[in-house]
Amino acid sequence: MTRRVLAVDDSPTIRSMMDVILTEAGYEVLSAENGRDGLGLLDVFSFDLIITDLNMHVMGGLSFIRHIRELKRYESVPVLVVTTEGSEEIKELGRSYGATGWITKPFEPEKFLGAVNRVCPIEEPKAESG
Amino acid sequence: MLELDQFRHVYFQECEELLGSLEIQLMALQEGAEADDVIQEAFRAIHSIKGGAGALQFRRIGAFAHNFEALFDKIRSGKTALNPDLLILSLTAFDMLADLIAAEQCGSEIKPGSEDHISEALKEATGNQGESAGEDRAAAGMAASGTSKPVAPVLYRIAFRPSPDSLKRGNEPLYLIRALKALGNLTVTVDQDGLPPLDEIDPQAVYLAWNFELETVAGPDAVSEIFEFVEDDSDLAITTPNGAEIFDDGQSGVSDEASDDGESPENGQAGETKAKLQGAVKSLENSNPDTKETSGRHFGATSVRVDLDRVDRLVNMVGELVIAYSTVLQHVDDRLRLTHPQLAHELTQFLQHTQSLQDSVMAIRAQPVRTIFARMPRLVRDLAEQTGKRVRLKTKGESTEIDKTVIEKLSDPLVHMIRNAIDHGIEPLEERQALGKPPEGTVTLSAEQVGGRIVIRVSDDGHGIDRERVRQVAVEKNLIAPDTNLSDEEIENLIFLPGFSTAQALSDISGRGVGMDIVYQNIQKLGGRVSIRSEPGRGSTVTLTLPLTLAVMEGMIVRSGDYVYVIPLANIIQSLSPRPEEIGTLPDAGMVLRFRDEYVKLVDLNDAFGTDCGAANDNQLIIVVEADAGRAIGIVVEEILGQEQVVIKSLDENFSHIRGIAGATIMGDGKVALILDVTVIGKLGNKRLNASTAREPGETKLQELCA
Repeated sequence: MTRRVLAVDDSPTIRSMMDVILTEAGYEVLSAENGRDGLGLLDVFSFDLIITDLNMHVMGGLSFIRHIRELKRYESVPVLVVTTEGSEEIKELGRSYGATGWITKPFEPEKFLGAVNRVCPIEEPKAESG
Repeated sequence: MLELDQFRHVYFQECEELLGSLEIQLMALQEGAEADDVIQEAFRAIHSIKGGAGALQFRRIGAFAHNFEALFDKIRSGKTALNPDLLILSLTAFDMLADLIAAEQCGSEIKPGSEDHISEALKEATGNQGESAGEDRAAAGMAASGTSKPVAPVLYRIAFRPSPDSLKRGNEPLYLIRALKALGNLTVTVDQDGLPPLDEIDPQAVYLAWNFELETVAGPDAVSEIFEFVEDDSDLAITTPNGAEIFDDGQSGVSDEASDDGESPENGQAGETKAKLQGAVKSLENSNPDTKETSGRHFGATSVRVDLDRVDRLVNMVGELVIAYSTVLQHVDDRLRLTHPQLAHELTQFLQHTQSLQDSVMAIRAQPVRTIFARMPRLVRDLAEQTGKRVRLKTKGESTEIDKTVIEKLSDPLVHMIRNAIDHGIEPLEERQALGKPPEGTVTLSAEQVGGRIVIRVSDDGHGIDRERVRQVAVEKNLIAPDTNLSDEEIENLIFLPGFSTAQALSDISGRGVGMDIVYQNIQKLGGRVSIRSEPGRGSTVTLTLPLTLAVMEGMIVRSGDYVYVIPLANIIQSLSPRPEEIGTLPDAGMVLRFRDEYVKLVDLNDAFGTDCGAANDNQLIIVVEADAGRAIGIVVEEILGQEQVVIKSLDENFSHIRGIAGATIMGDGKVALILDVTVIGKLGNKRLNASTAREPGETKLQELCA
């Protein structure tokens, strides 16, 4: 089963990077440039992971996460926020709104995928024991 | 490995937009705007430029943007007040940032360190003088990743009891275990002690705890990183065989609120952190003007970013389709209408769809003139500063849309026109006061769509054109004979004559020494026209009339000899078939036509291009067109074949430039027709220039082309 990821960021550069990195890793990626458009996509499609920037036009990341968590379908879907390196308070803030984890910018593809893999790995469990 | 080059294009495109936005915000601040959202918007633009630069490893841009961003971060959080000095610094930094980006884009080199003094000034203003280059680098994405891996496998013991809520937040312990397993040899022991009786189990909660033994060559960082998202609210202890604790939080299920209260060991300055947190909440929430959210959850208002090349290709394809359609249309005659009425009907439908397709495709490339108007306030401010005048810029009709290719070429002429208005139009302060005018001059920039054309006007309320002076210069420059009888309007438009602006007195003040003839030439190239109207003492208005697009043009199809030409409809004043007495000969101008109480020069296309077939034609037609600077000429042709929308194809790619020919088009019957450049045609006529007598080096002879 393909994992579908929603990537929300107002920077087209970052969006296309996330798109390429995740697609190459085998995820199916849809993207939006702000939280409101993201919610629109959440309505129509179902996602296994949501990655969002915080500072965006129209609807920023925190409101977006708050709305996501209000949706029954998405109340426990992993949400990763994209933050700048070292901003502990922002990570904390993201968690208080219901974020699962974070990805620090500027992201290196391996670390980025590492973080994604920890909350939404691509392979389905092969009858793992233990 | 991820190929970063593929994102360059989208990044630079983004930068262009962000720089545009940043400039608008800076100008708004310059004009005294103090709204938080202006500062927030400026911050966001710099932040995004930095973010992309970091991701693409453009280190210089990233490091510089970082310092710039830091300043605006201080300003938006209210820690630093914006003052005129900081504003000037911001504008300087803006220019530097734009230069750095442009250099990166073109692959050119800006001298290393040339941005250093600005960076220093930014740091000083931010209060970050002490910030080391290392932090700069980190911010720019040069994180020195030095996770040295031990060669021999190491045994880690890990005790992990996730928070019962972790699943609810999307943290699935199973995935963490799997990630651990990927690092090496993993032994797992489950601790089920926390499991409640079955009827009390909440299926969403985590009750289990695990003990792991992990044998791996991965470094401690890699191991603890796995628990990065859960370490704060889980019980987690990681130890190496030698007993060294690499992680032990000693907490169990500590809630976020609790850690905020300063109970966590590393949180010594709880108060400060909390304040920071609240500040961060505020600044983040400020940027979310969605608190009302009445708009609901639709996502219709999105846009798609498409490479301009692709759009151009689409425009060309549609152009070909239009041509193909015209070809088909040739076969729709009365007989077909009679024999196959249904087919003829369908073809008419086809025409309508083709036309609306063409309109839609053209609309894709259309952009509001705002994109170039937005650069002008800055220019006006700088020029006003340089000249010591006080000038206000008013803009109207910014949302008027023009083809992107036209917009790009419009910028330079517009800059020149505004430069001229401020340099030569607006009077110095004292003079204005002496004249009883408001001390502040006004330059008005407007755009509107009139029919299929865009009209752009630049007006000023300065002293207008000194007609005597212009006339005098024109005579000195041998551009007109001393006794030429010219109307006021004609005199004013003399300033567009090539070579006029080298008359230094009128244009060198601007320091560039280029004048209205440059504007004129550029606009002509775009298929547009320029004219000026001026009232002494009251000001001048320069009017540019431009086609909406460069790709398609309305043209009149004419035949002269064996050749078919297209005359741009926009240039045509009238077509007529003259009476013999209306045509005369002037000794210095050759054939002339009496037209509206004036004489206009006649140009025979066969003469002009040296394509004379020898056969004299009796039933001549004359198309009177507006050539340069409002002057009319008459083009002698043999037949008018019709009026058509033609798709312009460049000839310069395949042939060298031919004087008098602006391009070519493919007609419905598949033949090539040449599009006349009426401005140059006039000159060919002026000098009685034959292609056989005078050719500039590199010019192609017309016969060679159509042979």
